[in-house]
Order: sequence, then C-alpha cells, then structure tokens
Amino acid sequence: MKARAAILGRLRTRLGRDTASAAEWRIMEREVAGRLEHPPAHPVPARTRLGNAARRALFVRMAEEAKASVTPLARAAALPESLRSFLKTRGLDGALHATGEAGLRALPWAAAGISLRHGRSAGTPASVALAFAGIAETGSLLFCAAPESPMTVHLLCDLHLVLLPENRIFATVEAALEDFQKTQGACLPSAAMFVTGPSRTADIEQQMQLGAHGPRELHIYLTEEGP
Amino acid sequence: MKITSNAFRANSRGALQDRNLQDALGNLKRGFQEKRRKAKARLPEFEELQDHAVAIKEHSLDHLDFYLERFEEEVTARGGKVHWCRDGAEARATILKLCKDVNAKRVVKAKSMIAEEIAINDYLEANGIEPCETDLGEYIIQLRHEPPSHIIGPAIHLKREQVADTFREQHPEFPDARKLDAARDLVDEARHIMRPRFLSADVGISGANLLVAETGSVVLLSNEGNIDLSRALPKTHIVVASIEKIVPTLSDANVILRLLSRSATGQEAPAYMSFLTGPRGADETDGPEAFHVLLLDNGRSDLLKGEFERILHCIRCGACLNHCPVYGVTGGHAYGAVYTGPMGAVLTPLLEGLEHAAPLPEASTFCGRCEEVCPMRIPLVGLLRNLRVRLLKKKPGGLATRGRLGVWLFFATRPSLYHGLARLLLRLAAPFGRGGALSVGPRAGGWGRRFPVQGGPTFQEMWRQREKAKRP
Repeated sequence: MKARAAILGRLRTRLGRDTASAAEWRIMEREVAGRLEHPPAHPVPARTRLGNAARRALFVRMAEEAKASVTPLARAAALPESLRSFLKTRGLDGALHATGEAGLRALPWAAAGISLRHGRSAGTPASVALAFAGIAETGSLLFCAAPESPMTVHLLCDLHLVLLPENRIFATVEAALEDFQKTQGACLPSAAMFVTGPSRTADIEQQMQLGAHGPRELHIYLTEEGP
Repeated sequence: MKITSNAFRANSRGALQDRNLQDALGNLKRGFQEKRRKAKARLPEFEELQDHAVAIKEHSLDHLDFYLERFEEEVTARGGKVHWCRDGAEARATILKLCKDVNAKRVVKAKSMIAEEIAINDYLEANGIEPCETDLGEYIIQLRHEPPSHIIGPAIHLKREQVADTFREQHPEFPDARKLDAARDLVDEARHIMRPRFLSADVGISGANLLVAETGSVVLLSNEGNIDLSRALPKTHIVVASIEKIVPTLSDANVILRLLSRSATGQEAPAYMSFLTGPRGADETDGPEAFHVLLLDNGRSDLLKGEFERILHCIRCGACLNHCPVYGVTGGHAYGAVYTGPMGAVLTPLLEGLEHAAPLPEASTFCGRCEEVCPMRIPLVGLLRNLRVRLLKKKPGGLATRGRLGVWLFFATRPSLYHGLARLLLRLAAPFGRGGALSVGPRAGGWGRRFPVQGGPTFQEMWRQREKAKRP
C-alpha cells in the first residue's frame, strides 16, 4: 500500500491537485465520471458505413487479404459435409476439437462421419468453432471466452475452421463489443479475442511466415442462415 | 539491463563495419516503411484519428490519478489484483513473490518492452525460475543473450544464417544434419520447441499495449499468437504495465489501436488483439485463475506536466525507428539501452539519467522524419533539442568548440560578410574537389558529407539571378 500512496501522491503533486479545494475536487470527479459515461465521438472509418451486402463483401475482402479463406455456405447444416471432404484432402480423420455452442453441436456431424471433442484443448490438428462476430473493417473474427468457448480451441490447432453467420458481421470492433454488451448483459467477457488471419511472424528477415505459434490456416465458412 | 549508451559513438562505428547488420537493416526500408505508407494511404481518417489520439492521451495524463484508481477498482471487481510499483526493484520483487506463491518453476513470457526495462528475466533466473521468451524474435535474442534491437522486431539485426547457427548450437535435441536454410524451417523449429513450454508453464508474464479504465481491461496485440497462449494456458497471468498506458474507455482505446498496428507493421489489424478483463469466469476451462496487473511508475510520474511530458504519449509502434536515418545505419544495439531510435534517445536519458546516456540526444540529424511518422505527433526533435540544452547547461563545450561557434556566430549575424566569405571559400575550394564535390568527415556507410564545389555561383547568387530574370 505504501507504493500506491506514494505513486498517487506524486501524480497529484505533479498535477497540481494539492491546491485544489474540495469544490474543485468535486468538479474534477464529475468531469471524469462524465467523460467515462459519454466519451467524445471518435472518427470511425467511412469505409465501414455500408449496407448488409457491401459489409459482407468488405469482410470477405479483408479476411482474404489477411490470408484467411472464406467459403460461402447456403445453410449452416451444410458445414459438416463440407468439412468432411476438406479434411479428407488433408489426410485427416473425422475428429475435430470444437467449441460447444448448442447451435454448432446441433449440426449433422454424425451423418458426415465427424466426431467432436469439447473443452480445453491441448493441441489438435484441426478445430471448428462458432465465431461470436465478424468485423468488416478488418476481416477479423471475435471469439469471447465462455464455458463452452475455451480460447485454446482457437489457438492450439493447425487448421482453424470457423463458422460465421452473415448476420453476425459488424462494421467495427466497437459495434461488435456493443452487441456483446447488449446481448450478454455483461460488460466484457474475461477474454475478447479478435483474430485476423492465421498466426504469423516476420521475425526472420522480415519475411512473413504463416503458422507461428497458433493456427497455420484459417478457413471461414460464411452461412446465410443459422445456426 | 545495464545500459551502455555512453559508448554510442564507439558502438556505432562497430555497427557500420558489421556487414550482417548493414544487410539486415537494409530490409527496414523495403519492409516497414513501405507497408506503413500503404496502410496510412488506405485510411483517409488517419490524421483525424491522430488528433483524437493526442487529445485522448492529454486528457488521460491530466487525470492519471483518477483513471488509475478507476482501473484498479474495475480489475478488483472482476476478481483480479492490482499491484503498484514505484520502480524496477519493486516490480521484480512483486513478480518473484507472485511466482513463488504458486511454486512456479517455469514462466512463459510474451514480448514486452517494460519487462526488458525491469530486466525481469535475469532476476527470475537468479532466483531459480526459468523464464521462456515465446515471441520468435525475443526467443532468438534470449538464446544469444542479447537485448532487443527493435521494439517490434527484437531480432531484426540478425540474418537467417545467424539464427540457424544459434539454433544448431542451442537445440542439441535435433539432428545436426537437419535443414535450416529457410525462414520456414526456423519458424517450425521454434514452434515445435515452444508448444510444450506453453503447456507446462506455471505463470505467463506479458506487458500491455493499453489499459482501459472503464472496464479494467488489458489490451494485448500480437501476430504470432504467443501472447494469448502465454495467458490462456498458465494458471497465473501477470501483466506489467507502465502507468501511462491507461485510456478512459473502450472507445478511446479503439482510436489508438487503429493507429498502432498500421504505424508499426502496416497491418490493418494484428493477427490477434485481445481485451482481457479479469481471471477466467466460473465454469470456464482455460484462461488464468489468477490475474495480476502491476502498475509501474519507474520515473514516469516525474515527467508529468514537465517539458518532456509528450514522450509519455508514445505507444511503442517503432515507426520512428523505422524511419530514422541514424537508427537505419547503427541499428538498435548501438544505443546501448532497451529503448532505441528517436523515442529511445529521448526516453533513455530521462529514465536512466542524462549522465548515463549523454550521446543519445546527439544521435540525431534533426531531419524530423520521426515526428512526421509518429502516430501520436510527439515532437521528438524538440524533445531531443531540450535534452541537448540540458546537456550543454551541465557541461558546456570545450574552449575550442565554443571558439568555433563564436566565429560562426560572428559571421552568421552579419549576412553580407557571410555570403561574401562563402563565395570566396567555394571558389578557393574548387581545385580540391573530386568529381565536383569535396568529402568532409568520415566516409563509412552513410556518414560524413559531400559538398559540391564547382567554383560556380553560390545559391544566393543563383537565386538573385533567377528573381531578376522573372521581373519584366
């Protein structure tokens, strides 16, 4: 506690609070409270102010630029079959680590010969996840930590396969976080992770290499409907 | 780290002779500069965002006491704990205690400048705890016992052959004959080595790109995914952040974040950007069970409301390094400190004492490119000039220096005499020039100057003629 008092004391001396009267102090407190409640309107890139179709197109363009692939699917129910043939081309069996949202679990996995494992991951060739949101500005996906959505599922895999319903594409990070706050009744999850393309590094001679410590590939399946 | 900034002149001479380093630095221009330029061009709102970012920082620093207290309240309300640390020693002791409390044997570290500033690795090692750097560049320099040479690319001074040699030497568990020629091979080997370390670490330590007072969140950016792995797998996450990282709200954070990755790597967004708020929630199966945030002062509060306050606006993007003609030929190690390039030449003397880093404010041509590319519009040249003034007040130049400046001053304040003398000198020097130019100063890689001496008219003469010709 000594350090706390010392640091705050020094800050207040530097900021000239020593001479502030009780009334001035209250004014400052009100100012700060007001600033927190109503931050000034900051510029938001004009390129994100779009209708649904254009927003979807921007998301696809930006995601692809970040070296993710985007596959359109008419229905979420088509995902297992699509993944079955994809996994086969990679020589993988039909086992996937997955997040546990009811909507994702309910897809016809058994019919496609795919079995799902849930919970914390310790490393797997491929995992499948439902994204909380997509961000058109940057082509990012938002994953929110939750009992059914452990972050390791998104990090400890070579192939990161992600289902994103089109109506979950938001213009910006701000808009997606606002939606979380509105729909989940919480300020923020313990971890809100925005993922843009597969993991990468340019630490060797500034040459971009995909697949640093996280996924080597990111494949996004964009559905018009559900889950 | 123990700083050796006073050896800057000798260090930079060595750097200029270092072939590998010069090759590696050659990539700066093709890489970072070009990518930043393109990213900025794609965002028409860039400069407007800069105005807002500067205002946000000014407001945050003016109310730092309030926002730090609010941040602490929010972290505590979410089940985390805030630790205030006056200096590096307090921060090191706090981290060690937190590690010992959970009987930690192994710590995974995400790249962090502040962790370098407090030299936590050596301290943990001396106390029987193994610190593993997980960012590839940071891991390479840890193996080589070197400090980082760049904020964003700690191993930017190395060529891949050097990294391959280091890996062969330090990874005896791999067959000698393996192929390590390509960057891909090196990345894969590091990935392979690091995976079990992430899974077995007891504690993860990271820095913070931003702190959000409103929500008690820590914002972290990475491309490799190592920061999120360092945080999500161990049972304890320790964040070390200096106090000036705070912004009031999420909305404010996003303004700075839009500038940060574009200025740093030219990316629209980094591969991973996480807002971390407290330890894992009930029934969550990963994420840390304990969430600690160290708020470190270490000299920042002394800069508040002073002539150097603007350096506290720095968001550590590295753009000033990437565009600095001095950094571009000396690299980072010549600065002999954690923070390098223009921002380091300002911050190091302020944090470590001017007497320990006297040559750094001189390590600038004052060309101003650093200011031009700084997303936070920090007047780096002005700050460096203020440091030079301080330096001169402490230790005025020798008699010879003052004498020469006196002569220059005499002529500079008498323009007609100055121009006459310049004309005379140019004509006298003409016979000594080679290829119409005279070299002055050392010639090694980019240093020294070449003055044109063709015996022709001076600039002023040409200008007068031109103006005369324009008149009817």
